[in-house]
Amino acid sequence: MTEDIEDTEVGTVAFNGNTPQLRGLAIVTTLLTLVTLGIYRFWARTRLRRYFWSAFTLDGHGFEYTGKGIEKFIGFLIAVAVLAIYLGTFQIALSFAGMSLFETVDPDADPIRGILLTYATFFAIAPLIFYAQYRARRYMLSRTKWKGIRFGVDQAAWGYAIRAIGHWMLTIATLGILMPRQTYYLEKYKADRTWFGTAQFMQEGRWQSLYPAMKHILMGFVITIVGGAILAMLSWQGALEGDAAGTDIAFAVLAGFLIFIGIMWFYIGFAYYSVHSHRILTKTKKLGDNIQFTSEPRTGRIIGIYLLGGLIVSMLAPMVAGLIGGIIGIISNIALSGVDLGTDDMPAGFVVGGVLGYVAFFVVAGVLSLIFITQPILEHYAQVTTVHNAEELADVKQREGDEMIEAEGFADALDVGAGF
Amino acid sequence: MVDDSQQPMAAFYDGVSAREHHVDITCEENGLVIAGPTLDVSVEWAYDDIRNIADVASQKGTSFRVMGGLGRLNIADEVLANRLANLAQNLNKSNIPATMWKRIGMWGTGAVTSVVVIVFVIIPALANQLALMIPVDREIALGRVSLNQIERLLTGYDDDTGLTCTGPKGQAALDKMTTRLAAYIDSPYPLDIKVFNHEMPNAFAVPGGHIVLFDGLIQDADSPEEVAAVLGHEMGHVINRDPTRLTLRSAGSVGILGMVFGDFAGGTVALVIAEQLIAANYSQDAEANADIFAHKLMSDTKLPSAPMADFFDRLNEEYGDGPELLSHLASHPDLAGRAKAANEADTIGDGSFETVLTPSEWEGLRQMCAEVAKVD
Repeated sequence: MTEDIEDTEVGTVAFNGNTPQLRGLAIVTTLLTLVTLGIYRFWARTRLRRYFWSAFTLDGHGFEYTGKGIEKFIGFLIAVAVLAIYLGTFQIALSFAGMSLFETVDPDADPIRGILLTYATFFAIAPLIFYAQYRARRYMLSRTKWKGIRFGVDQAAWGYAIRAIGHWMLTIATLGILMPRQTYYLEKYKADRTWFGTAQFMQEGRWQSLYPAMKHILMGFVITIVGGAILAMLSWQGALEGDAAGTDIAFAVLAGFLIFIGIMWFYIGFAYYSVHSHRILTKTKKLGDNIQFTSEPRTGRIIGIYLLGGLIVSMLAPMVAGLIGGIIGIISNIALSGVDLGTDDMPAGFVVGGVLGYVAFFVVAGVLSLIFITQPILEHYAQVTTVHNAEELADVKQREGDEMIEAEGFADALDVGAGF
Repeated sequence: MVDDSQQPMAAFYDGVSAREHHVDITCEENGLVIAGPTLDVSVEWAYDDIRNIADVASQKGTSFRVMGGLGRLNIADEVLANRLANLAQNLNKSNIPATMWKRIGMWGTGAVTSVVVIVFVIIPALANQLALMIPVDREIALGRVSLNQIERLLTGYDDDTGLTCTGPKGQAALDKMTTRLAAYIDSPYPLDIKVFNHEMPNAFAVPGGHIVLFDGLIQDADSPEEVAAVLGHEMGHVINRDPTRLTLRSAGSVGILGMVFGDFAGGTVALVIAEQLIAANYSQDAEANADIFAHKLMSDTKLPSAPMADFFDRLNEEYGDGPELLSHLASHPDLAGRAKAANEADTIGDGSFETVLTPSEWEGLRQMCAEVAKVD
């Protein structure tokens, strides 16, 4: 695969996955995570990143992830020490509010209280989530190297959190009309603070150019509205005339069909938006003075990978887990014959088999989704990405390290990590 | 065979600029020397400091780094790479600096302290306070919802008739018993007491003054006073608002535990087990307080609490050993101790008292569920 590196065009991104290696790595790390009651998950995540990072090559030179499991572990301890009291108090306050506010005897009071509650949740937890996401990205990039040169991100997590909240509120208030503005400015905030060695990234272009990426969301919306309008008209008519004629049923079926199609279209529209806004934003990104990028993933391919991968995982995982649980159940049933676990109706061995089968399901599902979803998605992104004027990368010099002892602990504790 | 004079090619990244250097490698006695036309000075790596770069996806050659340095060396030649692997003994050794251990110790202590304080001090204290602030009508409504859920769970979702026993004579007896006990307590909500047609010797209270006695408990009891003592115990839970406090407390600690365990395979199992252990710890206090409440109530109503002791002793005999005790222990620990406490609290002794039910009323209570088929 890598034989003819010398011949390839400058700026070629490739992904050299090795499925048997990934399979082995995934199984070992998942099992270790299991037997350590989750503690190994920081090392597991780190090892998988090392694998995935190194599979990406630019002009034949692999990327390297230099993060350490122990850094993540310490970062997590710090986050738990800091967040436990806040989160515990928050959770209990939330459930108190839920118990005393919802479904009250006076139903008129509910909507406003409900909205207040939602906003309270948002303001209590959202800044932390955005803060954690920015820092997770900073940690990850500071531990990413290419040709021995580090990436880096400026410290600006609170600034990001405040802006993210502002943009989200604006997007919600305008019913999504300003979503491209949010996407653009948040991406620009992150990109403009990102470095490869001494070279700085820069997001150019304008936010209005993201509107074409929204077309399928709009389409889904319109179709749903049309379906809903037909339905509303039918029920209005029905209320006037008192009974439903045969033609009305045909219209009702049509309306239901339109609503279904509209909602599906709407969801796919979001996938399309995420892919195409990525295309537009990548095209208008710059590194240093002249280095530019194209990245043109295809929505159909991405959805296809998720559907096929999801199908494989949901078919294979229960089968393999059932097989493992069954075999262990039979074996331990023979081995444990005569032992009474206090489970009246079930032989002890089958209880053991059932528990192990249940655990095996999660292990197998996790491993399969790495192989059949994560890896193909990354491979697709690599195949469609090119760096222009990549020869200028050779002039980039090393940058200072970013120690960050809290690593990405906040993201781990809040479980808002970046995918893998 | 490779002799020392031979110098195969390798790729070197000096960690200063993003430039690839084509270099020659010489294996000296204590380390290797990296030199090449594009390198200003040659670089020396001590064998002991050389490390492998692990978990790398298929790449051309093998990659190495040096402790404390930023440089990277990629050796395409397999023979040389193997030779280096023989010379460098610490390729896979991970050096964790002492500061790391110190940090783990410091922050580990911090994290554990933080979690312990929140789970065992702050959340219970908050739950106790907040439980008093929930409007009573909400508590009653919530209790009704969870009562319905429990009933459906016990019938296995396949029975619409429900479990509540409706024998009129039994109901009258239950009302009489309740009235006698309730005269001495000040409940924030109306007491709603039901008998479920279930063979388990059990009783429970849900938020809002709903109490359920199982028929199995009534059948197990030797006298109506035993049932009255259990009812008094459950009334203690109601007055102390234990079900509501427990619900709030568990909502708080599940959030914390979710953060600690994360979402690894089987994380949910670990979370549930941990939550059960915490709940058991917390409910030990609640049980003890409900017992004390029951003792006082029995004494106030001029009833003996010794029958409560008999009941615990019998439970202890029936379920006292074997693995089934494990689950029972979790929330109702130390039956022998509780029996002893009940005996000590008895204020009647051998004296006479007005029985809580007449023999025929007691028979009515025992037959309360007879007309409905038993669920087992």
